[in-house]
Amino acid sequence: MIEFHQISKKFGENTVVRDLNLTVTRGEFCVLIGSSGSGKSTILKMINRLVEHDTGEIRFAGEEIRTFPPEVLRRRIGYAIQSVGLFPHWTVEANIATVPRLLGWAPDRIDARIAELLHLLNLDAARYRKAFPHQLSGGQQQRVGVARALAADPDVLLMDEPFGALDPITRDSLQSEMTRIHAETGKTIVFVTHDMDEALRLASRVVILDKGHIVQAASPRDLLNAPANDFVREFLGKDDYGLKLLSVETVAKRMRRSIEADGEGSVLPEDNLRLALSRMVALKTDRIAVCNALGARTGTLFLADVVT
Amino acid sequence: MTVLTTRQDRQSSIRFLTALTVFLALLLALPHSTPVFAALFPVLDRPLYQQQSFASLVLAHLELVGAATLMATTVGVGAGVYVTRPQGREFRRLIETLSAMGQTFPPVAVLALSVPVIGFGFWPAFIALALYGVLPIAENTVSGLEGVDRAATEAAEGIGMTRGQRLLQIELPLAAPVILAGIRTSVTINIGTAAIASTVGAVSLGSPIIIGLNGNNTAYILQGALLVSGLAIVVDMGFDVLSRRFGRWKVR
Amino acid sequence: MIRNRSLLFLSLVLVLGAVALPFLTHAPNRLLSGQPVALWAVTPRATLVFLLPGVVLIAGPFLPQRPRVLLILILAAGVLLAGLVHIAAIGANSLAQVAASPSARTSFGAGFWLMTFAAALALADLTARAGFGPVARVLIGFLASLPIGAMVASGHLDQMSIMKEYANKSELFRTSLIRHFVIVLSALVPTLLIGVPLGVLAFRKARLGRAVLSSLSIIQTVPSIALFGLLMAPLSALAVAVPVLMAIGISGIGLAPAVIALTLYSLLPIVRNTAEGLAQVPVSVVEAAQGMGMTKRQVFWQVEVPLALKVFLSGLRVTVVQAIGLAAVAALIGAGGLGAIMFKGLFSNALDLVLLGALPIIAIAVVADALFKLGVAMAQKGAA
Repeated sequence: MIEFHQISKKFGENTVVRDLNLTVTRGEFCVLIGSSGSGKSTILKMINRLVEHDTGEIRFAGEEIRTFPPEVLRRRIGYAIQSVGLFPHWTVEANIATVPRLLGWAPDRIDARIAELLHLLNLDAARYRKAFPHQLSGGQQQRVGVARALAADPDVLLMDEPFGALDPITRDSLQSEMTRIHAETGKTIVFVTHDMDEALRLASRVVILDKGHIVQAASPRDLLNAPANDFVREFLGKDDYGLKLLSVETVAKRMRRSIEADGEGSVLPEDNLRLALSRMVALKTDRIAVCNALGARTGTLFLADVVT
Repeated sequence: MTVLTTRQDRQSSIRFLTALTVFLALLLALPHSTPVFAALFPVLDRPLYQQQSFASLVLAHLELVGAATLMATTVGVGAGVYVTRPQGREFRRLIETLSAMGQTFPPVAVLALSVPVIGFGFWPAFIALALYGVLPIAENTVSGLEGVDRAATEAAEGIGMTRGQRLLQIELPLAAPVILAGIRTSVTINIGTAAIASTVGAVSLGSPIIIGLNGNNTAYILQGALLVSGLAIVVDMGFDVLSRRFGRWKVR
Repeated sequence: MIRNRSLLFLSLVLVLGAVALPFLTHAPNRLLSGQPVALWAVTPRATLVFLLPGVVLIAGPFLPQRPRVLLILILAAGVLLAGLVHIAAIGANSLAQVAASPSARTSFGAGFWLMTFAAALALADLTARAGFGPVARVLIGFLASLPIGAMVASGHLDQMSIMKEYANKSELFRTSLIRHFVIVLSALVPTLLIGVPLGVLAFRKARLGRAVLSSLSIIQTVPSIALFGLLMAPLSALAVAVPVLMAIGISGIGLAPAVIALTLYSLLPIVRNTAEGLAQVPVSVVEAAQGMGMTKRQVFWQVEVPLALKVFLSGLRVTVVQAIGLAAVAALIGAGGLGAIMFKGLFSNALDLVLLGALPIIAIAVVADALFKLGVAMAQKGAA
């Protein structure tokens, strides 16, 4: 879907990106992660030409991005930023309708799309549709920001540290939303963050960057099981490495069909092992019931199976 | 969630409508008020200004101020926009310098100086008012545009608006409250200067006042003064209502 | 490569003024309108020499804008300014020599005004670009005006119609000038005596402050001539009713309504800037002072006042500049001052009288503004 071929970028004397080669496949949730100055935001912005690359070629859906005018390219790509940047003088619905209007959609179609997106982002249409940005909380504003990015149904969504300015609870909730949206819409998402936990939680593939080149690109599980070098290991975090490993595995993989232990507490098959471990410790038990979403018991998870 | 008019907004609208009604009533009553002024000033044999109708004077005043403000707004906003674009950034300092200079020149002196340059009549007054009015508008356009939330303009660029669309749909509307404040300042000064414009040969609500001063007719002076003060207050209140409407989306 | 587009623009304006507009106008007597006299029609030698700085300025935009280059350009602009006045003087002198009668008039033409304005703007823009601070900029402006002032004082410009007008009316000019200062200063005293305490009160009691400020704002929107007019009737009635007032000079016309109106107009900026100046003093500083054991009075005079001074002085600057302009309008109600000369010129179609009145008014306003800016900048340095 998006291909970077031998991309370099200099700002003055500073080489920010060097000989970058990267392919983002359709439907992927690709997270670019690195510390400040690693070039992750620059790389993201090169996709929609907010930053122009110096050398090399970038292809979008097979075509070189310089073959279209920048505005045309950007209207095919959703863009959400940390500061959200909602237009303060427009209502929520006018904000969301921005790109569809630029593309000349019919008013009915725009109306329907707004309703669809508000539902997708879990915003109560009756309350928020005609509200102004300053009347919304930070988390709600960012939801509107994401809705606005998705409004014209772009194939690709670019997100530049979108949840960085939010409190942990809101951030957690929005991360769940993103996972769900990705599953429901199947869009290609390129997401920049500096938070490893966020990357591991959301990504189908993590790209670790250092000073403008790729150190390792792999799925969260592969990354954790086989870090390429010490830099990656540092990045993954030494102290809670084991817990991170647990967070990318699900209960379903380690549970047993047998029904034992009728204590309190349960976990869902799709919950991750880190959550399960946390519950078991809290309940002071070495086994916990596994129940599905409807409440029916499907098996048991044993602590021994989690750890070994 | 969506009702954004505050109590002060409504009070402002009420004040404006009241002032407007009082002013129009005054305008209607004045031509028939000879007995009142005759009683107040028994010495005068012509207690009521008759050379032009008061209504036509109000219109002439509005015409002069309106035309000058229109010109000043076009040039001022244009200059302000140009100077905040990458191509025009070099001229920003020049606008600041001009603005600072302009603020120290008393408007009445600028008005008087237009006569040696252009002559007497409507045009010197128009040019003096337009020139003087450009500066607060240009200055406020610059500060308004520079004060626009950077996140909003970044987002606008990122989602695919052209530079022109960004300017017209995002930057200018967001800068509008500040620009309007500049226009308001400019109009207030211009209404005052236009009142003296009859000294350079233009007809305005100042005409009865100046004629009254020259001929020692206090009644004329009062009539002109009442009307032009009323006009100034009504216009200013109108701007207050407008600026509240333009700034509805702001956190207040 | 064009490196200074604003200077290029101003240089083009200079050339336009030199080539397309009359530099001077000459008329055989007061009644006939002046004939245009182009720049090159004035004595060639003098023209060439004093236009050299103009050439430097035109070349300026193409040079690298280094500090030394900028200094030379600033010097060129200053010399050009003086040079233009000098050329005008020489032109007037030579025209007077060949003129048929002593009542011949030479006035500044549109070209002269445009060129001097462009040169002055170039000077201001270049000094700002060179990074000079406010104190330096005021000093440079003062230095640039010195040669012009010297030329006026030495009688070099005496053949210009405006100076002839001055010669005719020098006594009137002197008294008007003094009267103008009297009007402004007489209004300043009650303004400060009433406005400053009112501003402090407005700061301490927010609700009262809002009411005071909104009423004063309404006064500001009233056109000055109207306020003068509205004061005249009641004041004259008062003077008639209380004869002792008439004796000390208070009547419906003249100084009394002028000073009262000026005071009313000046109250808003003074009250507002006093209140705002005090409001922007950081609360933490005030609390620290109180915590150290200073009394309320000590905190006010030793902490709040010095920190509020800059904002207050800037309000005072606006007030004084505004008052100078209002005093000019007050001439219409018989208060005298430079406005009287200006309006006399307008009413009798004597355009040089208009200049004789208007130019000094502008000059005084500009000088007052510059002095205040200098004062504020120096107070800043002292405080920091």
